[in-house]
Order: sequence, then structure tokens, then C-alpha cells
Amino acid sequence: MSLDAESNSDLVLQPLSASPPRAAATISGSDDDAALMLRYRHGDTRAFETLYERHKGALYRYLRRTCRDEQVAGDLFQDVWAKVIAARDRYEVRAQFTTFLFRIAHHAAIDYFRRAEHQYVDRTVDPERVEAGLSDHPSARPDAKLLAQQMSVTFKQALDALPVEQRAVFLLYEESGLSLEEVGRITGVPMETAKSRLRYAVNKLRQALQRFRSPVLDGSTT
Amino acid sequence: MSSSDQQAWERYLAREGEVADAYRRLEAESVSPDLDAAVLAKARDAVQPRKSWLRWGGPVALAASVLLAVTLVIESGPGGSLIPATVPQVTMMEAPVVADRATSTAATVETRSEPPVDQSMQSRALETVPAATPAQDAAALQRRPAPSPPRTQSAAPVAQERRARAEEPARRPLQRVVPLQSEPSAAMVAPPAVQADANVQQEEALRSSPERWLDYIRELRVQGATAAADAQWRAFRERYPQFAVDAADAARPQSH
Repeated sequence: MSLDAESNSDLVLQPLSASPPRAAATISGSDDDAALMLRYRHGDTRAFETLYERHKGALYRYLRRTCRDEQVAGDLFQDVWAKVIAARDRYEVRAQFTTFLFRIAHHAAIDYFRRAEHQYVDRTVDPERVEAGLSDHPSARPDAKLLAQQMSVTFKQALDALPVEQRAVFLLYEESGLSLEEVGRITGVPMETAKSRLRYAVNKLRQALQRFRSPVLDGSTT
Repeated sequence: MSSSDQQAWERYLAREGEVADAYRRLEAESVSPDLDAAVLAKARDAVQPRKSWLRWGGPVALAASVLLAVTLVIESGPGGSLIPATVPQVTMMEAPVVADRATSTAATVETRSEPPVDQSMQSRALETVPAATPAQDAAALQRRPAPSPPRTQSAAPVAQERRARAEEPARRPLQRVVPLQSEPSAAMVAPPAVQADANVQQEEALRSSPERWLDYIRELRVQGATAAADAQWRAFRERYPQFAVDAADAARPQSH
């Protein structure tokens, strides 16, 4: 992949990225999370509701996209919050609440894979096969809107096709807004390992998006 | 890795670039209202039980205290805690002791006239008087404390029966000595009203066994209560005319 192609792809994708970074918005006000948790510890359910509203979306997306099953994600989502509720009395402000929350979520997801024996192998889709299948799609020259939809589908399939370690690191990095060091802490690996997994994941996802880059723009910028 | 890959990687780490944008363009799966309700209800329930426990803590503690108090009263019984209920029993047990002293030292009246150390001791001493000498019954009854309330009167037999069972071996010799200081037949036929039931029961228990009745008669003779022993012998023979009693048995009236 050339530098020009990368630049062109940005041009093509630029209109699609108008929305603000979701993770950053989700984690805003994280300084208050610990205080909210402590207030809930003392019986303030309103504090919990605030905490819940702040983190439920990111947590659900992480679980939903890691497990790739809506029902399982719903069950794990409830389990995670149940553990947060149960841990309120022994909650200590040692790290960000987000780290605390996503660590529980990550362990819940890993436990699910272990129980279901789905770990690392289930429903894995080869990104190259996804890309090949899409190349045979009837709409070879879709308009921009359809192209965007197809790109989302392709990206989602590529994401689902990632090995679970890479997918988990990628989703944690995206949804929690935490640093790679924190992501490594949550997943129980050194930061360099987490970084390596994330890089592999990003490269595969970029490969899946490569075919949507405009050849015209590719040629013009070369 | 190519420079474009490196550049894309660095942009991604800055949360920019095509991969980050593509991810944010994914259809956002949102939490269903049912899930929201379930989690929030669980959060509320986790906090509320503690409050409800605190709310009910006071009444529960009060109820437990009342239950404990009632249990203690029931277990201790009216005989253990209510003085009127113990009066008949005290009289029955201590009468022989005081009477014995009275007959041996002839100091019964002096004992009664001595200033008591303790009010309860005084009342107990006074209680012993009617059994010691029937002639002093009237005076002793006049000095007896006020009658107990009806409730405790009715509870007295229950305590008596309970204690009679527990103290049966220790009380038996005392019962046999009772006639020493008063006419035995009178003591058994016309006991104080409070003692009536107990004495009748004790007498009936004694008379139900010929051997025990004979033992009792022999004891009376040993103690020198000849008239009482004779009266008991006659009653014995009326009830057990065929019961074999040795001609030399000490229970028999001694012919002079």
C-alpha cells in the first residue's frame, strides 16, 4: 500500500467521519466516576444511574462486538453491572473507574468463550474471503451512500473475523478510550503485547477497507 | 512495514484515520430498555435491603426483648418469682423444723417475739407457727401478710406440683415429722386451707402404698406420737384389712 493510496482513502472516507469521537465523549467526566461510585456505595442510586448512563453504551458495544451475539452480550452486560453493584462496598479509587469496569467486562467475555468453547476459533471469518466475496457483489459501482453502507458491512465482517485477542484489544482501545498501557493491564498482558495486537488488528481492518479507496483518486495522487 | 502503514498507525493511535472513522461509522448497537430497567432495578434493590433492615431493626429488637422476657417469666414460673405462690410450700417444709425446736426447747413463743433480722424471715417464721401449735393458728393468721391476689392463688398449685415432683425425696421425711408438734390426725384432716389440696394429695399418695403407710406409722411410733400412730393404724386397717402385718411389727399398737 502506498502513501498516496492512504491519502486518497482518507479523502474518500472523510465525509463518513463527521461524528465526534465516541470513546472520548463516553469517557468524559471520568474524574467523577469514582465519586459517583462512592456515592452509590452509600446508597445514592442517582449516582449509579449517572454512572450507568455514562458507560453503558461503550460497555455494551464492547461486549456485543467481542462476543458477536446479542443475547450473550445482554447477559454479560447484566453480569458485569451486577458485579459492579456487588463490589461497591470494597471499591477503592486505585485506578480509573473505566479500567475497573472494562476489566470486569473483559474477564466476563473471556469466561464466556471458555465456557462455550468458542475461544479464538469460532465463527472466524477470513478477511480475504470477505473481501473476495464483496468483489463479486453485483453493485460494482455503487453510489457514495451505498458504498458507505457496503464499507460498514465489510468493516464489521473484518472486525468479527479478527482473532479474539486482537478484537478485544481493538474494542477496548476504541470503546474505553484508555491508553494502551491500561488496555494491557485489563487484558493481563504487557503494554507492548497489547500494542502489537492492536497494530495487527488495525492493519487487517485497513486491508479490508482498501478496496473502497477510489482508484481515480489513487491514480491522481500517485 | 511501509511508511504509509507507519503513518496510518500513528494516525490511528491519535484516534484518527480511516480505521477509526470506519469503526465509528458502524451502526451503534444500543442497550435495550429492558436491559436498562433490569440493571437499574438491581442497583436499587442492592441498596434498599440495607435500608429496610435498618427500618425494621428497632421493632425486631423490641419484639425479641419482649419474647425473651416472656420466656424468662414462663421458665421461672410463678412459684419462682411470686412470693404468695411459695407461701404454702415454705410453710409445709419449715414447719417441722421450727416445731421440732419448739417441742424440744419450748422456745417457740420467744422465737416469734424476737425482733426479726429480715422481713422475709419474719414472715416465714410466722408462717411456721400455725403448723407448730394449732392453738396459735388464729394469732398467726392475724399476723400473716395480706392475702395474695386471686391470680397468684390460682397459680400456686401449679408451682407446688412442680416443686413437689422435684423435691419429693427431700420432703418425704419432713412430712412424716409433721405430726410431732401437732395432733397428726388434725394436721392431716384439717390442714390450713391453702395446704388442703397438697396435703390430701400427699396423704393419698402415702395411703396408696401399704408399705409406705406402715413405714409412716412406725416412724410416728419411733418419734413417740403414739396417738397419731394409733389413729393411722386404725385407718390403715380399715383400708387394708387383709394386708399381712407381722404380729411383732412396730407399726402395730403396742399393748400394755
